[in-house]
Amino acid sequence: MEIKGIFAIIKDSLISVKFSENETDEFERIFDNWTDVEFLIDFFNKHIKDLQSGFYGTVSVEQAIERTIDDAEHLEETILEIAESGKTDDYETLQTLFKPLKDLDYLLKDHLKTKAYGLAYKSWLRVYAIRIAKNTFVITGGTIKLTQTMNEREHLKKELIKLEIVKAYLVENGLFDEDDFEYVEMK
Amino acid sequence: MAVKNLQKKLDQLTSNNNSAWEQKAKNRLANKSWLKHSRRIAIKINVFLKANNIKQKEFAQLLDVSPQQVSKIIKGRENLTLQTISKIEDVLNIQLLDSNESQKTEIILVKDFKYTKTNFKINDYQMIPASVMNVDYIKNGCTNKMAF
Repeated sequence: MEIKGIFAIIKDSLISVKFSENETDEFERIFDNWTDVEFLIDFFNKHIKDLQSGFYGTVSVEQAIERTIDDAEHLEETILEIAESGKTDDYETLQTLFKPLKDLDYLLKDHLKTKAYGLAYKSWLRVYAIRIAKNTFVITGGTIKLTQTMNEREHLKKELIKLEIVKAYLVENGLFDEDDFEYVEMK
Repeated sequence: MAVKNLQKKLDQLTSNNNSAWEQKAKNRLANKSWLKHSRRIAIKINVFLKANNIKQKEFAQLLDVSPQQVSKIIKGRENLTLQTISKIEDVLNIQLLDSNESQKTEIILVKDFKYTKTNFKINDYQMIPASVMNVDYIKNGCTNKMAF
């Protein structure tokens, strides 16, 4: 998996990587997927056991699709608002979307991985990012998380690998300073 | 110690790369209403196609449309006309739109209370008595009754 460039989502504030295997940057790709009925029906059919495990209650595939799309739309509407308000408010509100990826600290051994939560429900949407400065986030990917931890499923493990690849890219391009990290809980 | 010239470096690295997310997000927001219908129809179509092992290519041939258009339909991104919906219903022999033609619509209105609405006096409006007619939602709970 190789990074083929970085893209500005919100100028100077929200950046996304693009991997060589995909046609679009990660941020665009995940929202494309989360609003694509064909993708979602395949995804939930593939993970039907997780979906109906009771972690999120009893949810049918159809309900899961509608819930995902609603949540994704709500999330991107919020980010659009932030993009607009950021023009005058110094992007202050962007960090309210991100929280530290606490459950992975023991595994990843550093404190820079963050995730944005979907907003509408106890959400299963996850957007993963690395915070490289105050109000500057680099999106590494995202997924629908139907299980308690990230280590249980291949598609979640892949997101962990992507975080590491992006970190290496940031180091390589002089965009990363280990000491500059401020460990804050973002809500 | 902060990364020196971070924004400058980011600007350089992103200068030739434009994400289409913002435009797509704005489009999804602007078309939210009909997209919701399109997606609900797409779910029904996807379920039917998979259950009957019908490939997209075959579906395109049945509809006599391009594979690109079929792709948009099954992704829930096509602004379908009634003509297209009817055609899909015909070729797949499924029902995509709810039909309640045989059911009568009954509306139950309950006179609830009266109140007096006070308008602001800045335009010299006078007190206007008004009444509210409330719908009994409990009694309207049946599927063949419509509430306003």
